[in-house]
Amino acid sequence: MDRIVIADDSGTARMFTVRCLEVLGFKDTEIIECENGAEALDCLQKGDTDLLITDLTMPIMDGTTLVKTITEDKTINLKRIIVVTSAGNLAKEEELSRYGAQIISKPISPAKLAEVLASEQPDTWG
Amino acid sequence: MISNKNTLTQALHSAVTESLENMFFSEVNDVEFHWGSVEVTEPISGKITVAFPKELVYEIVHEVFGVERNEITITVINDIIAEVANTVAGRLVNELVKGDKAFKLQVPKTGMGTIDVAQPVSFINHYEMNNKIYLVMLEGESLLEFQDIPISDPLEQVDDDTWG
Repeated sequence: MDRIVIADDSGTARMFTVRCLEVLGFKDTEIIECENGAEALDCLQKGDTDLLITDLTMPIMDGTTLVKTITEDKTINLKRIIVVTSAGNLAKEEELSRYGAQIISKPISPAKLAEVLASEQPDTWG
Repeated sequence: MISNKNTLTQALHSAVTESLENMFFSEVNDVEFHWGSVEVTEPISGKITVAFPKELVYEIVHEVFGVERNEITITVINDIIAEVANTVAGRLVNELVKGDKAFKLQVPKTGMGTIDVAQPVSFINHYEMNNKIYLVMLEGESLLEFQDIPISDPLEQVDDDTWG
């Protein structure tokens, strides 16, 4: 992967995600950290991105709005969306999977992230 | 966690410190806590609070971030406590509602010292990490109703016909 965008208002959560990516070998990948959905959207609009890892509950623009906006914005070239959330359950997972997102329940770990990355990617948009 | 703001907590503080100091001839000190709270609003309502003693918080931040003690800021502490509270709250509620209902968590609140207990119904559990005790407190009637629900025993669910 060349470019990964992380969206989470918690610096701690972003740090955990970056560490997981490093453990999985993404040391040469450009990793961009954003504090909310609006920042992440701006980053995604500015360049092709392999992976978005986003929280759900964020100020300014939350994760659900971000995911919906991405699916409607045909100028964005994004290959995969993973939502890392503490509010992850079957109902939320079904809602987000309609937009092509995959869910990881907090806390994120290298094993959970590797499992999702190895799984088949939902073919919902693009 | 100990508040000296009202008669009850002041009286409790005096009772505890004077009793234990006289009984065991040791100085008794307040423990300063850093806490983080998350309110859940749907489908059940309540509040989940985690409270870590200051010393444990500094150890965690040092271990996780690699930051030296004199460089640890309150912003970093609040951020990590909020993330812990958020994660614990999410996993707890997901476990209780069995994953089949969407639920809403509010943005975590953090603080130091006194924990703001808004609801009279509460439940506290104690855990240990790095040889230090930390607290998890639950508030809210609908959340605490789960205390009255027994844990289902998998053995009880085995169909008798299975044994022939």
